[in-house]
Amino acid sequence: MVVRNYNQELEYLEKINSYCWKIKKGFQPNMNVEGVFYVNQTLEKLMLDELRNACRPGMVGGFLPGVKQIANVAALPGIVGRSVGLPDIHSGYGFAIGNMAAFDMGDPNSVVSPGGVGFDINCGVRLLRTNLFEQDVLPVKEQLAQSLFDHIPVGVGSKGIIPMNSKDLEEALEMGMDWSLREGYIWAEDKEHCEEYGRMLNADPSKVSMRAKKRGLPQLGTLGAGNHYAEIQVVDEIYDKWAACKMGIEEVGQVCVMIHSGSRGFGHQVATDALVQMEKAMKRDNIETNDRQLACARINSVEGQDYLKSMAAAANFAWVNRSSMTFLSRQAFAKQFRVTPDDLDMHVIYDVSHNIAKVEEHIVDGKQKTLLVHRKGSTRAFPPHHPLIPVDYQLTGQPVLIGGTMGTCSYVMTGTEQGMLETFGSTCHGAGRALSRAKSRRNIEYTEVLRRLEDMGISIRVASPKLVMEEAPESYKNVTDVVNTCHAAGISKKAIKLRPIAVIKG
Amino acid sequence: MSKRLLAALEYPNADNINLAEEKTLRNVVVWLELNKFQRAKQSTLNGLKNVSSKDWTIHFDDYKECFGCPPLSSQVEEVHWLLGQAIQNETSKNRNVYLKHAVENIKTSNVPSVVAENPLDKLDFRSTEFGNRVNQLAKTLKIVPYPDPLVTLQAVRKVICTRLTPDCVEHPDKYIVTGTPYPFQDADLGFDLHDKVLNQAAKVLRMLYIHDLRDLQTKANELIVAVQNVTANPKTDTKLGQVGR
Amino acid sequence: MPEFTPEELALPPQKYEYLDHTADVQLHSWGNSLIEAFEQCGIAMFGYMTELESVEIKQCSEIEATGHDLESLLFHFLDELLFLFSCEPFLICSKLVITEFMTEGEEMHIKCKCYGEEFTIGKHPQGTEVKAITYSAMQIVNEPEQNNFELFVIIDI
Repeated sequence: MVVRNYNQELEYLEKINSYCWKIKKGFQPNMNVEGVFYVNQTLEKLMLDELRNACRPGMVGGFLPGVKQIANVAALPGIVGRSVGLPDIHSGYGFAIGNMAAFDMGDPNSVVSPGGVGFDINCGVRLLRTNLFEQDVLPVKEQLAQSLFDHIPVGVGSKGIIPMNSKDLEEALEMGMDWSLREGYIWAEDKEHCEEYGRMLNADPSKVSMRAKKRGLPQLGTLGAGNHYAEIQVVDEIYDKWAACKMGIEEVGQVCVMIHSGSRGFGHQVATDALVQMEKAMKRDNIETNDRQLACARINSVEGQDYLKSMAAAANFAWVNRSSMTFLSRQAFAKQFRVTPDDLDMHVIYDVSHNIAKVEEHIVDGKQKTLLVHRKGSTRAFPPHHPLIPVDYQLTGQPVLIGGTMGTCSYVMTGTEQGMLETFGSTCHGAGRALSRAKSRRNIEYTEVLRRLEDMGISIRVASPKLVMEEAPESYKNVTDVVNTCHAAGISKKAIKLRPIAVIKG
Repeated sequence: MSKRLLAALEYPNADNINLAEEKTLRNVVVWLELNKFQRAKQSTLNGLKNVSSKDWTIHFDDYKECFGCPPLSSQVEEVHWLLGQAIQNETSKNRNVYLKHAVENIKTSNVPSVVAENPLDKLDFRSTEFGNRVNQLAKTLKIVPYPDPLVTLQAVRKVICTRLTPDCVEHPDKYIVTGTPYPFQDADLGFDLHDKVLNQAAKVLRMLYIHDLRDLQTKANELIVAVQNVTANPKTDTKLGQVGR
Repeated sequence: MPEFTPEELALPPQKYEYLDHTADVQLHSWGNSLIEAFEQCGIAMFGYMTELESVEIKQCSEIEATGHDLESLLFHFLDELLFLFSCEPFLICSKLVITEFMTEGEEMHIKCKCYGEEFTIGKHPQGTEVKAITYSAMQIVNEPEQNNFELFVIIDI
């Protein structure tokens, strides 16, 4: 690894426009393509400060700065286009979180990397609408929050309440949301409005270890902890009237439910198992990378194929998980208002993944190619008329659900043509952390955080009080900044802004 | 069946033959040998000619042997077999003639001779009168006529079938969608044909396509719901985990 | 319920801390021997998931882990402990005693007795969930001459 000082490093970075920077080849060794990252002024400062700190002598350990990680990814074999950093980028394991990388399936050297997907496979967001308005909900807000908390298992050590045995799990892993449909937990329209229609067809439960299945079984239908949550939100602003209309959002004040969750311990185990396998494969196949954490395998190798199949099973797990929680949320609301979920029009607007790898067709240098697109902390954002998005959104583009952090707003955006070209149809996923958890625990008092949330009129039910400090909004980048940057850069378009009124966390 | 074979072989008075009669059967065999096969040894032939003889069967057995005729359950069947052989010989001698007839037969026999009973079928669809009447019908239904009247007729049919059924006239809300229409004029087409008129047309085509997709998707959803009616059994068991506090 | 001796029930002093890290947490443990550092590291992990003071010692499970070097041994050791918590017996431990610690040769080996009880929501405060063990920035300081034994592990939360 070359050691340079900050100013020397800066020579490899070029500002293309007010929202976009380029990382030239040579910033890190062996770069096959250039890197690029989208920021606004505030976010730019964070990125460059991170780099400056890393250049100071004596700094060792921890993760590399985001810009370096983007460049290391650009050095992976088979990568095409550019290694893209979205505005919410922050350092992670091997790949930064908020990094998109696409590999040419036609190139035998191309690799697949679990680090490019993330440990929490198919961590994603689902948004449900209702026909309730804020004034309908305010008088019973506390009871509703409690009802939700009473229906959805959350937090460390929580177990699901949807009865399942290992045979059910096998079927659920293979069938994804189709399992939930068959069992009657969700509606047919839910499948229609889900990425991949809630099921990755290449899932193979036999490629998943017993350990992962054992870890996953008790956790199916639970929210999890960390930055996962279920929120009752209210439409705060509508930017794109017709897009909102198509999503069933007519007016400001309309009540929605947002669920942010992933594949729990199951996905983590799958990723861990794969990394162990791939480290061996790398030696065998002579794959060299700049960073040991960028463990990968040739897409066509046994390890690569096994990973993709087990990743798909984990993705299915997460969709079944979100579907189970959809069921429980509907029950919670139905009980509270004494009507059926159907009467409340509690339909799924959309369900997106932001930790996943997909095989997609894209135009690279004027030619159509089949690519394996890794999105870690990045959401797919396909434009209008794309064949893979639901019929209802053909004219408006795919909805992109951006979850804010506890107490801050969330957004719904839509995909654009420009995004399709520049980032292979990818955009940000949320806020991205700014402060470390330990720092947050030290600097912020949890009672302070709770009081502030109360002042904002947000009811909160949390399983772990300690978590409240770590998850405080101050620990995160500003989601509005992130979303505005994506909008300004043209890679996705703002449609709706949502404000939370109740939060359930693990 | 044997009658047919005899008729085909041009046996005199084939329609009135009764092979059950011993004498008739024996005469047929003799006739076959004399006219069709001409194979038998003189002695066998003489024996066969002697139709009233008690030993006729023995001669008949000899005769059968030179053809390799398998033993069958009755003499009638055996004669039948011989007739089959004779037919085979005849056809192979005049193969081309028969083939020609067969093909022709097939061609003519497949075309049903339909008697045109529907007066509509007798209409001249290409006449100007037809065209004018169709256009009149279109005008009444407020449809813009197309240069080819047959296409206009298709449009007329579509309107009548979807909007003028008795149920539709009685309950218009079931069929006619209400609500604010999507401003498709402003919608992005996704590609540019560099011609305003073509772009408009392409937009309309897109909308129609999306409409069809929506119908298909709705049908798929209905199918799923139908299956759910059989398989669904959603349950929760709060003893398994702990919720709330 | 098995009977435990007073010696078994006694908890060792805390020799671990949590270090700064952007999205995750880094466990730092130490001890008078590598074995002690390993034990403390395991406790540190459990300590992040709940308040250890609330955990009584009601049962003991034994786990085994192997590795081809010290890093992979530590990784698999912590992974086995996590597994003990995530599925049957859903054990949260306040004390770990390593009974076998083989670090010679190709196949390194650990056997460990884990003292604790089944995690019960309501009794045990819910802390943060540990999702996975990572190799990221893993450091094993093994200096017998200076009596310096430290471990740094980043866990994904």
